[in-house]
Amino acid sequence: MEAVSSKIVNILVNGNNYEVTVASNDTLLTVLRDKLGLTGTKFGCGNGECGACTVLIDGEAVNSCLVLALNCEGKEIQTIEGLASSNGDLHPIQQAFVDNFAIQCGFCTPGIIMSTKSLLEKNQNPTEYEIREAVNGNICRCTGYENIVKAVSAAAETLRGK
Amino acid sequence: MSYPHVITKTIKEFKLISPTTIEEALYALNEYKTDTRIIAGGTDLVPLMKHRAVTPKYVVSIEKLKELDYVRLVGDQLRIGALTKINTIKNSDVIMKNCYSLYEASLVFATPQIRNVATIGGNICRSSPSADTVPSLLVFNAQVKLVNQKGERIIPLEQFFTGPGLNVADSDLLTEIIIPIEKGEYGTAFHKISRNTSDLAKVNCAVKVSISHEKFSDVKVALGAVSDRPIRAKNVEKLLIDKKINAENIEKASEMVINDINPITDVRSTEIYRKEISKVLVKRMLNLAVERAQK
Amino acid sequence: MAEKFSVIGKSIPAKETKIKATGECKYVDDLPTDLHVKILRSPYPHAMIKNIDVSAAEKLDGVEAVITYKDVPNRLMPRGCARALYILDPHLRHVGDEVAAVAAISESIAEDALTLIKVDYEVLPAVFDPEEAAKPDAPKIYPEGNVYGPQYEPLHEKGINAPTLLEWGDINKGFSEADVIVEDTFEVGPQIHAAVEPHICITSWVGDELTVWTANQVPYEVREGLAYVFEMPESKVRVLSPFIGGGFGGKYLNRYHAICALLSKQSGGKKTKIRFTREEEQTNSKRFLSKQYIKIGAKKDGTLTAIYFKGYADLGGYGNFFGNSGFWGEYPAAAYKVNNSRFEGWDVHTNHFTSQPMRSVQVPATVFSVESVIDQVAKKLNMDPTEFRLMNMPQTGDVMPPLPYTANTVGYPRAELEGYPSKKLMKLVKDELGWDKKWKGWGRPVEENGTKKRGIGIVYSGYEGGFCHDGFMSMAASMNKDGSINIMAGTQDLGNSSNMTMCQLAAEFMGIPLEDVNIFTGDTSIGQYDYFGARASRELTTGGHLLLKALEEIKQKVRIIAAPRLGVKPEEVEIKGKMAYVRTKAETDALKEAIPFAELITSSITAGASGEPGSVFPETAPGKKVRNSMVAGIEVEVDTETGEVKLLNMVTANCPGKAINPEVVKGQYQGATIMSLGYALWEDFVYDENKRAYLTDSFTDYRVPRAQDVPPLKTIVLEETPDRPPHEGTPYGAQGVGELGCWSGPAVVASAIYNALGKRMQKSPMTAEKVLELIKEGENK
Ligand SMILES: Cc1cc2nc3c(=O)[nH]c(=O)nc-3n(C[C@H](O)[C@H](O)[C@H](O)COP(=O)(O)OP(=O)(O)OC[C@H]3O[C@@H](n4cnc5c(N)ncnc54)[C@H](O)[C@@H]3O)c2cc1C
Ligand code: FES
Ligand code: FES
Repeated sequence: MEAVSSKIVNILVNGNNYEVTVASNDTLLTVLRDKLGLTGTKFGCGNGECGACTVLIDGEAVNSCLVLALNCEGKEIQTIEGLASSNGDLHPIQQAFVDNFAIQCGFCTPGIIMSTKSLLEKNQNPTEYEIREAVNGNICRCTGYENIVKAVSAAAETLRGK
Repeated sequence: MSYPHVITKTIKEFKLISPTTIEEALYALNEYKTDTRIIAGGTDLVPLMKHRAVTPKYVVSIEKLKELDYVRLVGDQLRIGALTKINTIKNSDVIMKNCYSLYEASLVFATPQIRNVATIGGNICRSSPSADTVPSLLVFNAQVKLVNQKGERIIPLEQFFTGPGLNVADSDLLTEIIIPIEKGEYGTAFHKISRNTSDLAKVNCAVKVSISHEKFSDVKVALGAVSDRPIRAKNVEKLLIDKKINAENIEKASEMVINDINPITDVRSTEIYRKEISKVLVKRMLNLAVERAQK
Repeated sequence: MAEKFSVIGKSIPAKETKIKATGECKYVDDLPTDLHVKILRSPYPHAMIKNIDVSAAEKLDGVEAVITYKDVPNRLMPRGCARALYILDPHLRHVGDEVAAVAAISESIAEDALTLIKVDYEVLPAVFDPEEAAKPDAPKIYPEGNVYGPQYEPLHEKGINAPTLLEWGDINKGFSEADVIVEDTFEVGPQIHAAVEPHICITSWVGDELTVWTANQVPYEVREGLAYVFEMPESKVRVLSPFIGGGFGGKYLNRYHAICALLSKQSGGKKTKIRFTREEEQTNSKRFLSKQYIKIGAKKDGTLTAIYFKGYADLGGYGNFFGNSGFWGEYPAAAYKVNNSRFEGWDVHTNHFTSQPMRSVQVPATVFSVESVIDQVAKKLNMDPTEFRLMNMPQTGDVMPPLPYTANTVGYPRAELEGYPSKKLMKLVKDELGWDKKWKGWGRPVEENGTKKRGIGIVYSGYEGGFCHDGFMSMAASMNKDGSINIMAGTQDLGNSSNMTMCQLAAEFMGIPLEDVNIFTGDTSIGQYDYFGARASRELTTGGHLLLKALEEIKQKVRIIAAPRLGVKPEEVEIKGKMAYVRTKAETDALKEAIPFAELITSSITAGASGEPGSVFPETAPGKKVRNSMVAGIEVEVDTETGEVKLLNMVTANCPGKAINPEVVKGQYQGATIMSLGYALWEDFVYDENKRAYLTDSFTDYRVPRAQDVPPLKTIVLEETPDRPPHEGTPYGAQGVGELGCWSGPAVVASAIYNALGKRMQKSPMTAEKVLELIKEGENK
């Protein structure tokens, strides 16, 4: 049990294994954005308040700005980059956000889509209350959330149909 | 917090120690006694480190101690591991059945992302006067188990807090919360008043009442964000025990909460407002708990 | 116009939304950089730097440049419509003002370097209240005085230290004719823009050319300022603003670009980046704090006789934009048909951080105050407040103001309202909310249930629907040989789909498929211009207008080429669907003889358009004025023991003129409405004078609405278009849609509380603390 200030670790992101040097004071957000070049996950506050940095760790939505990257070794991380299929087709959640005008400036979008993914993996038929609860950790200053709620229920419907 | 002359958002370098067993953790905590912090979910500690409000040299991550992540009934005790996440509490039938007010607290605790990592042990050890899980634990007379290499001690949660952000745990590891569960007719209730959803409390309040022969056989009232630590409202409790359950008694007792609290004005609310709504909250939670006890 | 449209009027998601959904979209924070900048900020609201020593910071490993006021050019940087300033100044005007800046190879080294800078300050007396700051003996934030007005260049020739005035009729006569007069004072706190993306920029120099990547609503203002301070031609400054993660009026601070550019220059041109922390973001830009005095008179029959309005707005230490108190007086003076009116607006510097417009500038504060007094007048007259408004509101066809101006420091034209179906909107909201069933009269809540009281409120508001200023913008279009169109735009897309809307306009106007239009924007090297930028809901009205003018010119050029071949005069040639044909013939015959562009043109055809030089308030069509109108209604439940206000149900009805992209229009209304509800209830701004700290510098303590806070919301869109060619006036009669949703939150919530409690809120945001105070007022006396 050593006291580590920096270490080479293997991190599994979107099914890809990355070998990367991580400092003890690196957050997962910093590693994703600055070391792995996965800039789809956004920095909005760095305090766990806005949800722009939301990713899934082992299927659960978390604020990557509050997670120590060294603690992520051996865990499965999913980011917005892992959603669309490799041929460029949008994931049904992404498509629903586009089709329902749930994206304005788009800065909150990757985070909200990840929160949505976490919800829909557990609950295929969420009520409006459950949808609003699931995205309550994501601030959207543009849309007023109306179209986001619509998009999430549309995505749920598409996914149920599959 | 005064306006920082230098706004920092990067964490000072530190060394991370990641034990995989309690023994290892205790060893590490003993080895690195000074300038050391425990990190559980990190939802309190990481922002504090970013703002350099704390700058530990060593951080002991207890994240891998899966043996501390549990909710179980043992005899007439409900035991919750310190590493249990708020989300686990929210989804636990055992907690919903036996400790309803704690379940209610988990519903209005932070955001889904925070609930997925924040731990109950962290909530207690951060020792914020507004911690949302604490009032419920106080009204259940919860105890906490503190462990170090020399041994363990179990103390009432009420004696754990010593001030805002302060507690009696030195380089102890908090491992477990022990909640005695009684038989018989009792009801609990929790409510938090905040600015909007997913906010910290202006005031939070939990109540537990036990009833026999249409009288209060036991009453426990606890509030947060109205003093330098979470508190029990003993003046209210005293006035109700063995009294008849009626609106007048509840109203009168609720007014007494003024003698238990000592709120401040801050960015979230004002002293005056906190005093006013403490009375209202206590009254409403008493009524609700009674209603639930009678069901 | 019973014309059928094929592209406009359809809801089409913006092209960029796809890459925004996948995370591929590169915002400025996603671009690479060499250096990171951190800024040392003032711990005092008002101070002078006596001594500053940066030597230790400079020596730190990894630090590449450090600047203080001693290193900056001795040139005041112009900022479009605000007071010019130095890149750094020894005179510090607010807590958080820039003292020094460091560029280093990592953020943490830059932060460490800041802690090594030693500064001696001479602390000066500070002032925070705009009314106090306007007094002659107030601490001077500028040597010439703190009042800033009435206007700035080019409108600013009338000088500083005077209020903005607007007047018609005889205000004294108006009040002497009144049977009922209500006077009241109001205070509305500043809202913080709080976009999710913090302010950001990257600068770099290659030789003598400067490139800036930023998220900015007014890239041309950034270019102008930088070119001036660095004494270089604008042609050598390129400002790119590819994607903006939320603006709302917040994203046009520009001093930080200059700080970044100077540091970059000193480090040999390296890519240098400033990204505000959340704490910096929320202590650098906000709305204005408003204090307003209002007096309104009416006759027994309900006719308004006089409106007097005096307002103070705090600009902060620097301010951005002018004429803010009551926003140029247009609102209070022109929302109601009244023959006697006087508006007096004072813009005053204080020792707070920069105030700048936020989604409709001071209209929300003004609507709060004016509608509050309107309610109180209606109560005194014992009239239904909606009927009282219906009696006095102007509508399409009315000339506003009703009488000629006697004082008008702004230069507004008097004109006939266009696209202003205010009375229809009022009826729609009343029906949707069930007003006639629910409204029980003054002092009678809709319902009482123990300690909870339900109240209902409706307010109306009307204001500019997209300032035109077409003399300050240019748009160009190029028709390719295949008839497809490239738009080179001065406009800027903030995520409001303005790019898509422009493409729709072009496709419709040229009769070509949407896929054949492409738009280039967000880069000053495109060669187009916009002095005012993406503000004031003007991108569509002004940019769209100029775009259609440019396209009309292209059409004209093709007509001239095609006319001899068709054997007709140019004006008889119709251009549509990449063909030229004779307009006067029956369509089937005409199309048979149509000449495809491929046979007509051998090169691309380009045209650009701008308004008359200096044109600021062009009429949308001769003698006409485009106006937004909206009506909002809400039902709330007030908890009389806790002061909490629960939002039960909200309805808004809005007129966009023509909705070019209906779902986008609705999205703008919805977003703005929710933002204004946040402003009404939770978004409190707190400065602690003792701690010298802004306590609301985080999302933890500045509470913006979240998904669960939002009440059921119905957004009604009512179109009303004028009958005129699409390229004369605003395009197809469209109005600006970005701001009006923001007007009513505070006012309508206050109105519903008034109905529930019979008491009036005079301050907003209406936090539970303030509501409970109102409830308790007089209770124990
Ligand atoms: C955006 C946001 C919203 C929040 N909302 C709420 C809210 O609504 N209600 C609320 O109550 N809190 C809230 N919090 C605070 C925080 O999430 C909780 O206090 C949480 O429970 C802390 O748990 P953690 O595991 O993340 O603790 P950590 O941050 O890991 O630790 C907190 C402190 O406890 C110590 N510690 C942790 N575990 C142990 C242990 N087992 N033994 C000894 N010491 C230990 C650490 O050293 C540290 O000092 C919020 C925080 C954020 C960032
Ligand atoms: S950046 Fe992580 S929550 Fe805002
Ligand atoms: S779309 Fe801009 S913040 Fe959500």
